Amino acid sequence: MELVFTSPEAPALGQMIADLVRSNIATDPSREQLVHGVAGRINIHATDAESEIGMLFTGSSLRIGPALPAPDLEVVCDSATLMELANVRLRFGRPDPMTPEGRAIISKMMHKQLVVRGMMSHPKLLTRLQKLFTVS
Amino acid sequence: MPVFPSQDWLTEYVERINSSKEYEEAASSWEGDLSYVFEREPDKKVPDDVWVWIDLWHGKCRGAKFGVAEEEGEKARFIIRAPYSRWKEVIRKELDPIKGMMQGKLKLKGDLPTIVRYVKAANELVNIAGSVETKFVDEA
Repeated sequence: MELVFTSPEAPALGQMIADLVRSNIATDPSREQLVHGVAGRINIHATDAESEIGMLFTGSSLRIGPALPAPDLEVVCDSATLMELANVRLRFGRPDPMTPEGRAIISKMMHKQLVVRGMMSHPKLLTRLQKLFTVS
Repeated sequence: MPVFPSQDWLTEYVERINSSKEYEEAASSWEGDLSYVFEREPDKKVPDDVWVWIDLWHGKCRGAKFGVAEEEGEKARFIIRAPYSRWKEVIRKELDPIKGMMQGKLKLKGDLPTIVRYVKAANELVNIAGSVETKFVDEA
């Protein structure tokens, strides 16, 4: 059974994120378990690209398509920040403040250039997203 | 002033890549070739797809070919393709290439995590392209 689905209606950003997640899992198959055993909805909005996608964790797969109603988590930032998020080294599932890249992300969060709605109520979902997303 | 797309333009582009300290630093561990495809737009004087191949290695461009056959260009580790007028926007810095990929305006074939890791180098390649004094073929 396919682990990461991309719906035909997914915008280009969705295809890109699906490719990234699939490649990350192929490189490190242990990341496969991050898709299992969690249910939740995440929307990612790349503001300058005017593109928004939805990621649905069903408990056994990840479906990527258009934005979802009532997401548990919502990530809003520009396309460059999204690339930075994918590049950041993690420490306990969060951007590592010991690295310049991690500090840059934290600074952007403080200045609301990166907004993550729902991170307090869905920390595990956020951790899984970060671990699936990052290439570092 | 070199016309884009042409061999002269590519020669100038490669020279600038090889003299860029910023690119050298950002791509110091990059290994891999890349094909650019400038897709045909007959009404803009680009009657056929133009394939350009560049061999990038540790911050330098060690080879480049203009007008390679599709079969040859497709062997590159990465292929970035878009219609000619999109490339024009990229060179004029009216379109950020990463944003363009997220919008589906530029299409990438190849290992995306590698591109993400070297996003600074990719941006530098675009900055260099923008620094070449260019006359566009549809405006020549």
